[in-house]
Amino acid sequence: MRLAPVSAWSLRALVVGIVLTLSACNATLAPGYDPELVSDLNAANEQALILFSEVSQGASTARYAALAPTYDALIGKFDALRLRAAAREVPDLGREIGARLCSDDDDPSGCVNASPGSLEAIVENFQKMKQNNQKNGLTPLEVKGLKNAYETSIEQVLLVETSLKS
Amino acid sequence: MSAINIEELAGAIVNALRGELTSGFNSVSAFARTQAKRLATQAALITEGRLSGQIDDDMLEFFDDQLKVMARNFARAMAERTIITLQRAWNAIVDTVWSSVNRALGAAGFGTVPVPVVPIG
Repeated sequence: MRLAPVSAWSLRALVVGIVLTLSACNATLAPGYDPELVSDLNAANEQALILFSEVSQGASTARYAALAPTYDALIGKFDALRLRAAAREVPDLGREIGARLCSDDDDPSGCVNASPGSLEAIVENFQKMKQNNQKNGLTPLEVKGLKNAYETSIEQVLLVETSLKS
Repeated sequence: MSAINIEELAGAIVNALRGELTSGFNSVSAFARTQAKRLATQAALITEGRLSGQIDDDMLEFFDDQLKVMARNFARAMAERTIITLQRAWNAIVDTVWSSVNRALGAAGFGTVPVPVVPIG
């Protein structure tokens, strides 16, 4: 996906629109802060980092059976968090601003409710990790790459979600 | 003479904005540096894995695709954080102005004016 180029005209129109709409009003542009979501994210993050620590030297196919319940628990938890984040209401004005910043037909709210996309990436990361552990085992370098990808996504979610707290 | 000190109110607005925008900028710039480093690290890991054979073909393809998703989600998170900063900055201005108006009205024995809220949805 590429970010949509914003012309000078449309930027001016956007700013004027925002000013006219918001003048003399308290504004809500982004989804509301959800303390339970943040708390559950922190708990799931802790569990994920424990798993990465356990397999930092790699994980053979022989270890898969012991690790499978942890993979399933993490996939289930992060998928539930994705659904919870996606179900939040996005204010119309925020949705409009977000749509002008991102040209993504698959997820028009992606720039004003970014967490579901990052949580989806985390789910896919653990699904792939589980699949490869079972099939070929995981090398230390593969674990390193999976961990870096996971941390990139969880940082995105935590930055946005904690910023929503006023 | 106006019940509102214009110089004082303008100063209060600037102070409210400075707080919101400074904290928003600091948060976004630290995040951007960390994320950029993570993307560069991932690109280096993919290259190392390809050259050394320590990452199998299936996983390499996944990492290639995942890198694009990571970059897209980084941009989206930056966009949302910017929108949150815009929301906070605007509300800081409105709160400061309305507080000042209501203080002046209250001192003159008038009722206060509520700060309207944009309905969600």
